[in-house]
Amino acid sequence: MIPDFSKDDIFVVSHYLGKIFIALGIAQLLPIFVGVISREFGAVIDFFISIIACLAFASILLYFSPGKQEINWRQGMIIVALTWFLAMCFSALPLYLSGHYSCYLDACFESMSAYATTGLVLVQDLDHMSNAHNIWRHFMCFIGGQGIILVALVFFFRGSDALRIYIGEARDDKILPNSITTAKFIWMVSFTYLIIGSLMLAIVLLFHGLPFSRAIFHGLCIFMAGWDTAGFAPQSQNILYYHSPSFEIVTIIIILLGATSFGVHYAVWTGKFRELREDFEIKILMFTIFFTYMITLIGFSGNIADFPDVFSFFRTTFYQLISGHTGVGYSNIYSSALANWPELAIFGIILAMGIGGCMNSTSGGIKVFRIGLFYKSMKREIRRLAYPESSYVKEFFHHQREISIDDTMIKNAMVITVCYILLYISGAVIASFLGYGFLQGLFESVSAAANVGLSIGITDPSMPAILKIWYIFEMWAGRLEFFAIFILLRFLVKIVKR
Amino acid sequence: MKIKIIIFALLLLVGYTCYGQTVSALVNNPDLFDGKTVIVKGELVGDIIEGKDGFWVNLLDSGVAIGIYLPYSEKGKIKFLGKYDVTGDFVKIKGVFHKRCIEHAGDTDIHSVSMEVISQGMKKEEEIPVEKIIFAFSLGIVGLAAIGILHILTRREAPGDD
Repeated sequence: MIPDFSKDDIFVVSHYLGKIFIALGIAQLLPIFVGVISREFGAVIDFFISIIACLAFASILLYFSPGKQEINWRQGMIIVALTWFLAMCFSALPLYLSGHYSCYLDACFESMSAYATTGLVLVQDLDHMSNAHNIWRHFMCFIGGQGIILVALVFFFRGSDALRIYIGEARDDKILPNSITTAKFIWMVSFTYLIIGSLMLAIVLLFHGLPFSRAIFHGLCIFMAGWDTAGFAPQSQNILYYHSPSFEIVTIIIILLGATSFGVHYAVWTGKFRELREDFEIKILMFTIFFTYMITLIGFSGNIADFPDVFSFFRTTFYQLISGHTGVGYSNIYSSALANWPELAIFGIILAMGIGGCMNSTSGGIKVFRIGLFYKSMKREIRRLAYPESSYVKEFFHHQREISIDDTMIKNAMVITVCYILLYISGAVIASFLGYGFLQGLFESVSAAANVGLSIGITDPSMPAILKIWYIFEMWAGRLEFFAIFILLRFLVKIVKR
Repeated sequence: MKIKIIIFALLLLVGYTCYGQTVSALVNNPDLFDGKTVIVKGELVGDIIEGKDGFWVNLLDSGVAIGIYLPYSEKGKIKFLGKYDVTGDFVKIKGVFHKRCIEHAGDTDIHSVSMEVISQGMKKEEEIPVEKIIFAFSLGIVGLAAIGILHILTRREAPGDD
């Protein structure tokens, strides 16, 4: 018999949540540091209040559940889902106190958007936001991209516990033999790229005449949101603010690195460069980028003359496509311009966003790995039908090693894909009920659920609260790939029933 | 006949030059204003971004910002750019709006013909509401005391736990 939820679950979950909230409190020392050096003392107070709130909450949880116990799979999943939800609520506090959000729900929307690396924003008057609040918005993207739990894994968890919550955060590739060393590797890669990427962006901005401190600040913010495929920017015009194709090229390199599996990063770091050429997922990613861009191009076939030259056409269309496909959501055009694109071109972007980047990367969406798996499965079935009945047909793919596909793999991929499609459609249907066009609704819904962040103009502080709440749910469910949330919901239902 | 010609010329001029537009109207109806001379007013925000033979500055009007391309000769007029603790110069820009600028790889922008500073910006004194300071101070004392007490109690009740 499967044991039901018990009081022990609550104690274990509370204990580990308490530990994670200590880490969340400590993380807010970065904006305090930025606030102090920028002499933004109002912002420092906001973060002081937020840190005290996090630590007080953590202390209460740890007081009521002080004992350390092993985590089982179910508890691991609940910890992950609750962590993301509560982190959203608590991290929204300094944002709300900044006065740049019309209500607490908007601040929660923004913090979930950052953690889930979505990039949809409800901030108002971003151009006058303090550096401290701005760095916090981008730092949340950096934390969420790697995984909130991954932060805590390095410090607070033991081997078996670590694996159970590592999986809950939608990561199923252990690059190294155990989850903690994998987490450390992911952080090492991310910090190394953080230094290199931020410097590259800052150098481009220095060439454009920005003062050193501003160039570093912008470089850091854009890297954190680009590498983690979040798409936040420190100014309201997003990437359009920089008016620089060379800056955009650097961001494309960064977002492609962010959308690549950490497994491939590991292979390259250990000198196995051929993995870049042979990895099945990279091949599929290249194909889907090509395929969806072709759809976008066909969509534009009657409108190419609207663009002044081929370069500006390519710059505009390819940037939105690659931004959508990798899930970053950076944009070098206004959302009203995107809304006026031909419908087929918009469909091409929706498809790209829905597919997403690689597994075990910072991207969201269905993921190209699963699309590749369906292709391999179809190929296997065709071969099975073509060969004699007695023959046993196997299909392999190379993903850091040679892997033979099996039915369980296909079934799991299918379940998650169906969940994503239902989530995409649900948002579109709700938006339609609220008076938006279905295609527009679908675009925004896919953007939220696949954690992309491109907007066709629906996401706005004045949009209905129900849609804000639903998009928060989409971002949360899409980022964690559903199972952790399903288990949390089941847990909550059981508690209510008792 | 002369009057008719003058009226026709005036109509053409009005049709070609669209005065007093908001940035939001330009961005939301780019086809209507593409290639036309417009006048926009707003606060200069962010940074100066240098280009080949001019520089960019972004103008914020009612929550929507747009890039303005200006010749270097205008740089001296700009004293303040809006950010957290700075109100940027409030300016009136007369320039040509481009839905997709040929010169700048398809950017949506305004090439300035003239810029007039209506009111100079200034550095603001940071205003922190007294209530916020009192709240933060009280929360700090109560919160830290509570955290300390709970920590001690937790340690006492579970001495073996780290």
